[in-house]
Parts: sequence; structure tokens; C-alpha cells
Amino acid sequence: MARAGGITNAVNVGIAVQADWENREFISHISLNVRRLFDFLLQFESTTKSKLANLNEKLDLLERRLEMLEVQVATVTANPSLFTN
Amino acid sequence: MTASSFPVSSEASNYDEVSMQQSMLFSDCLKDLKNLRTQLYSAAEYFELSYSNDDQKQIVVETLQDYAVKALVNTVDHLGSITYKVNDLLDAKVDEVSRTELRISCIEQRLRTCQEYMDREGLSQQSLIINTPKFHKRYILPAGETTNGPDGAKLKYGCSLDDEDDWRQFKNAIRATIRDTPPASNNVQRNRGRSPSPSPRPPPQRSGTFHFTSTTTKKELDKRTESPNRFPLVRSGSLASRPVTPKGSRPTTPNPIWPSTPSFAGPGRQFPSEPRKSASMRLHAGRKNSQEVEQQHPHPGKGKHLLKALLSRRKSRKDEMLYTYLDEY
Repeated sequence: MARAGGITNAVNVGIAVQADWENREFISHISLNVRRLFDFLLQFESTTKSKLANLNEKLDLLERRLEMLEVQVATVTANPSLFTN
Repeated sequence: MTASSFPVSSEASNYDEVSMQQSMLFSDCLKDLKNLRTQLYSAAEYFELSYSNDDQKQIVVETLQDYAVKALVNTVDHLGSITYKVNDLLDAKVDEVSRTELRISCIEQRLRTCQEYMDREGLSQQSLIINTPKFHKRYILPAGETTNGPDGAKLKYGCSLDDEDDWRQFKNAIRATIRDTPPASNNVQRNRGRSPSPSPRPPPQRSGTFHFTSTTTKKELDKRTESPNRFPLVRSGSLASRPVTPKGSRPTTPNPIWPSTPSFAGPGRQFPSEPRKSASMRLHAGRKNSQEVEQQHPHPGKGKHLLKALLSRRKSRKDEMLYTYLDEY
């Protein structure tokens, strides 16, 4: 009797260990995908930041050029005699 | 609103609507992501409680696994859509900035062109270079020349009336030398008035010609007087009046040297018999006689002979003038 009880316990432990390994495998898959997702989000952040920085630089340059043009146009409109001659 | 501006406004409204829809979807995706995090946190708490309290733990674990997979896939979908939208929005903004940069470059180029034009105009205004009109040489007349226009009007380039007067005087002088016109002008009268007075100092050229004519034969002299274009004919007109002075038209007093000599009366009598004799010969003879008279009789006293001789010579001279005039024309 005791011998049969020992075998069933061993089978139950084996089943529990297998289930545990399956659960660990699942969790590892989930964590791996979450890390991939995190890496993707980090890459996206970096690319988006670089794009935004480039865009910001272009907008700054355009803003300066527009200010320059505004000053020139204001100078010309302030002295219309330059165009009447 | 005009028909031409309507499509533009509709396109603009469509563009605004699309952009609004995109922005709404983007905000919805962001809200879903935020809600997903709270849902995941609440699901984790629920599964933790149920695993500890429920007896059927295996079923709770399996349900938790399915939920975690679905939540992860949903999160990836959400993040993927949001990242795509963010990328699209960023690319659109970069393109817009590029277009704006291009337009600003165009405006700058226009302004630079305008500035260059203004600088060039300013330089041309400030520079003291005067662009003189250039004509071809053949269209330029030197100062003082005149050109007659097609209608006879004179194009004046420094012409004056003095030139015309000079030209007229020159023509009259030439006419006076060529022929002796009967109704003479003032110049001719002046010449005629001067010519009869025998000048005590004749010019050396005339004296030279007299010597030459004196050597010529009588036949040659006659031939020359008949030809209208020869010099002796010219001289015959001008010189014929020299020894003979008209009574009324002579302004000056006749020289009283002439008539007193018998030698002078000789050639004076010769004229009626020889009306076509060379004038140079006659002049030479008359001049010679007058010089002799001057030398022999320095003081005049006998006017009757002189008057008769002059009258006879006047008649002969008139006949000669008529002949020469007919020969010329």
C-alpha cells in the first residue's frame, strides 16, 4: 500500500513540475514579447525624437529666414521711393 | 463665393476633416493605450485574488494566460497603429517644412534678384557715364556745310547769308570777266567805271599778256575774237570798255592825257575800220599810247581831240559788244 501511494505522489509531482515548466515557458514567451515591444517603443522613441529634432531645426531655420524676409519687406515698404525711381 | 474658389475651399475643408479624423483616431488610440494599462493592472489584481481564493487554480491560470496573450497582442496592435500614425504625421510635417523652405528660398531668390536689379540701377544712376548717341560717319556733316533738301529747302549746318553774298559776288565777278553785260549791275558798273581810267600802274600779269599778244599775228587775234570760249574774247569785252569811256555813265572824269597826242588818234581811228580787232592788241596799243602820252605830255590841255576820239571809240566799242554778245549766245 505504501509503495503504491509513493508512486502516485511521484506522478503528481512530475505533473506539477511539467505544468510549472509550461507556465514558466509561457511567462518567458510573454516577457520576451513584452521586451520586444519595449525595444520597439524605445526605437520608435529615438526615431521620433530624431525626426522631431530635425523638424525643429528646420522650423527654426525657416523662422529665422522668415524673420529676415519680414525685416527686408518692412524696410522696403518703409522706403517706397526705392521702387518708384 | 465664386466657382473657382469653391473647389479650393472644399479641398481645404476635406483636408481639415481628414486631419481632424486622423487626430481623433490618434487620440482614441492613445486613450485605449492608457486604458489598456489600467485594464492590465485590474486584470492582474483580479487573477491574483481569484488564484488565492478559488479552489480551481488551474482554470484561473489558464484564463490568466489567455488574457495576458490577448492583452499583449492588443497592446502591440495599439502601439503599432499609434507609431504608424505618429510616423505619418511626422513625415507630413517634414514635407510641409520642406515645401515651406522651398517657397522661402524662392522668395529669397526673388528678393536677391530685386536687390541686384536695384543695385545695378543705383550704379547706373550714380555713375557719371553719359551714353552719347553714335551715328555712322556718312550721316555726320562737318560744321559749316550745307545740304539742299529734296524740296529745295536748305538744311542748315552753319550756313549764313554771307556765304550766299560771297557766292553771288563771285558769280558776278566771273560774269563780268566773261562778258560785258549792257544793263550792268552795280558791280559791273563799278568795274566799268574803274576800267576806263587808265591806271598809271598796270598789274604785271596784264603787262605780260600784253607783251604776248603783241607778238601774235593779226590773223590769230581775229580767230580768237571769233571764238566765244577763248580768253581774247573775254578780254575783248572787258578791255574794250577800257579805252572808251561813256559820256553819261562815266562817273569819273576822263583822263586828259589821252587825246592830246597824234599817236593816240591813230589807233582811235583804226577802230571803226577794224571793229573786230583783238582787244588785247587794242588795249596794248591804247595803253602804250597812253603811257607815251603821259611821258610826252604830263599836263593835259586839249580836251576837244580827246572827246572826239572817245566818242568815236565808244561807237566802235558798242558794235564790238554787240558782236561778242551774239557770239556768246
